[in-house]
Amino acid sequence: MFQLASVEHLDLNMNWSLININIGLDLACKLFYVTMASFAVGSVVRRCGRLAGGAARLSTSARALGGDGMPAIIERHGKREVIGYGYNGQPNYIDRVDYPIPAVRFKEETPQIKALREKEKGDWKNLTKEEVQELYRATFCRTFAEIQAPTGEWKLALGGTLIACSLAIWVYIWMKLFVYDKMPATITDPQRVEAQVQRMIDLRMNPVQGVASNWDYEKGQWKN
Amino acid sequence: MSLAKPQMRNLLQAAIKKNLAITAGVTTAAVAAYYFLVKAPRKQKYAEFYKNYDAEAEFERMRKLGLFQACSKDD
Repeated sequence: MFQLASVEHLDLNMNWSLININIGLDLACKLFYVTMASFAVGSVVRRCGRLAGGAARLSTSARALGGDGMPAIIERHGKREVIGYGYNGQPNYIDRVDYPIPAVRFKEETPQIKALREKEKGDWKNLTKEEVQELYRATFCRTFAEIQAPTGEWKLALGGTLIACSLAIWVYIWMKLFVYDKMPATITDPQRVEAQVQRMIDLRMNPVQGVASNWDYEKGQWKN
Repeated sequence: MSLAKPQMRNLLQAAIKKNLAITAGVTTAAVAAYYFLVKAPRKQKYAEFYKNYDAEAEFERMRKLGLFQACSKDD
């Protein structure tokens, strides 16, 4: 599979990590791929369904406006009361933390809600906790806590990203095996590399933190 | 209802102040770490190397090994 260079005993006692990396890469990538695939699959299976909310479509009645060749504007808010401008001027409902009051109420008016609204005009201390919550849910779909609750979407994002990374590594392995030429002799031939490193040491290349810094010039051997 | 009244105003300013404080802290920590872990040791190594460095002796050693193209290795 790989073209292994002949490794003779060298005076310079070098470490042929390149070949070990090539073999270890295969095993490491297989492990990596398996773990990432199981992680992402698990996160997708575990992911809950989307929360109710957003543009709710409780009413199916719609009116299409327009004429004279103008595009029809379909108002889908049905019988729901318009209570404001909304974040873009359209009569829609959306839960937004930065624009808290939507254009329309969430639910259509029922007689119970109508009665509660009348009661709401009086002293609020007379309202029970359930009535307050019912009034809230008539106008809004979710509370702020529910809107800002974590969705766990990061697990899917992270899992998908890591799967893509592992696929990329598999592609690299395929390239290395079937596309790239063999490394030239100047890199793989042990005698040539030995001569090159010897020259680096003689010329004192990178003597502070690089190659020649690891050579002990008094003793004539590598430092440990 | 017995919840505390939430903050109603200046939410963006409060968020910006908090973010600025975090930024200042994180950048200071990053720069300090780089200085003490990378820059200072490197400076020390260079100082040690050049303390007793004899450039002429090194040049002669390399010349005698025949590594220069412009200088011959014979005396």
